[in-house]
Amino acid sequence: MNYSHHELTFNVPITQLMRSQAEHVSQCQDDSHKSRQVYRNVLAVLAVNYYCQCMGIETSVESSTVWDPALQFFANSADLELKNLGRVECCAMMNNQTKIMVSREAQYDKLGYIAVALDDDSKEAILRGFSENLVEDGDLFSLQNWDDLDLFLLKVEEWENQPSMVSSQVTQLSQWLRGWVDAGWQSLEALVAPEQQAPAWVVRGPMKSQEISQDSVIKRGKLLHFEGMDEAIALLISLDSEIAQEMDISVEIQSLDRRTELPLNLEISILNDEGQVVMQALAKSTEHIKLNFSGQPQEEFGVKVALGPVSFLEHFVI
Amino acid sequence: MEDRDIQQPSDDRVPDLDEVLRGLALEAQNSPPGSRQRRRALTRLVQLTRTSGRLCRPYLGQFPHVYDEIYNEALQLLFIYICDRIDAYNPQRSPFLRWVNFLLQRRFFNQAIPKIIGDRREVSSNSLTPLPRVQQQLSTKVLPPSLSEAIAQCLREDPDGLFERRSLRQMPEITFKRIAIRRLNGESWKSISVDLGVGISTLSDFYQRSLSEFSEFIKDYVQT
Repeated sequence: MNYSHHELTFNVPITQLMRSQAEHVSQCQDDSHKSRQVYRNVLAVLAVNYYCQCMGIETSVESSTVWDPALQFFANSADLELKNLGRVECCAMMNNQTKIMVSREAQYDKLGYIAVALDDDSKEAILRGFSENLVEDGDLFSLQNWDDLDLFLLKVEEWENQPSMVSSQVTQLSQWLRGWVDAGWQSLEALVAPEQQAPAWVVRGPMKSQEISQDSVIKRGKLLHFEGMDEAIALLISLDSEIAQEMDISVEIQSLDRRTELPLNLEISILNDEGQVVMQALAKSTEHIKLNFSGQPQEEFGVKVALGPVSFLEHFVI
Repeated sequence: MEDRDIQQPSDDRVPDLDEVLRGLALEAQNSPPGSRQRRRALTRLVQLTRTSGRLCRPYLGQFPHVYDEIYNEALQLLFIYICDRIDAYNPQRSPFLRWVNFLLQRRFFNQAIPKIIGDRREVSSNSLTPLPRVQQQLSTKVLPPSLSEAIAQCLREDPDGLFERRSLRQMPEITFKRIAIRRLNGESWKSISVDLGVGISTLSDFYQRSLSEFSEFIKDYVQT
């Protein structure tokens, strides 16, 4: 027997605790078919989560839609968030079958799909396959067209190593007040000028022109280009130094014309000097996100804008 | 546990399981943590260990009714440990399965016992996967007679008109509420798509995107 050429799969022993969690959530559904579906969805998510724990792949299982009875009521989905990477769908299937059902609504905004075979008495789950994309149209897929976990591990490495676009220099905000703006940061007018589509938004938009002309307020921006997206996202920093000891800072992200919705799940975070997230917002059908905070001279902070595995990081010192 | 497979002739013999496991353990140890090579070697290592049929079953015959539960709990602890602490394994000192069985027998089975038959509070507080927040909130509340009926009612009543207002950008007549009701009645995406003349993925993406926005609203409605 040759042990080395088997497909890469993984058996997850299912514990009483996992089953009782699944039981608990599935009881929220009246319909016995739906209830069973939720039960299996929870087990699939917990099984993939366990595998990720073994592999040292960070997850946030608590953000899965399986815990939300309303989302489970309306949709058949079992997603698991891989931290800072995105969501994978954990597709429960019967152990003895070769077809995997992935509902239409579960095919939205996923990094990939993991097939999780569950046996009848739910004592063991086997992670049997992975597919990054669902090439066939529909909601039923053949396991034989899927890859094994090796591709998942390859993809995780790719997602993890996707170069995070870290700006090497630290932007000195106190210099801005003296009229010295670091290279790469432009006035609003300069940012918008090359974009012919929406030349008038500075004047007309909800951002009042007086806000810009106020002496104590300075606003500068930068365009972030995410691969695969036609339009750039504008990252805007405003400073208000009305009070000498403190600087009020606003960080905003928006599309250039301020009318187009931001990409779903675009995430903006403010990091402290240790790189820990202190503020965070996620775009859900919104055109504009603004975070306000204040800081003292010499204080450092970072701004991270992330979409799936790609992120931009900017460092500032006040 | 010490029984070795019958040795094959040394010329073109297929490596036996112990050799394969030892090779995988070495491969994992020699690859940087978090690398694909290490993860792949660990996946195969655990997989072969699990399916080898050579994992011991400590205290077999004891713990009637709950033996399998304890055993599965112990395996979970064991596999995490193998992956996490593979560098602690010394291939010179013992075959891989002997190391693993030693851990299972002496350490993890014993650790698993109180998790299954011990204090219930301890079960949840020591678990690898903590009870998610949503679930805790729900469990502390008295559930209405039927939660899913309340959710369906929320959709039908549409108290703030949210679901009816939410529509496809180009087609205001195609609203979340309309789609959701048809879905709940068991209608397929295909049929809705044909009827409305809109592509399935446009509809299902719109549906899913809207749902994630409405989930808080629905939860509030249901819990008050």
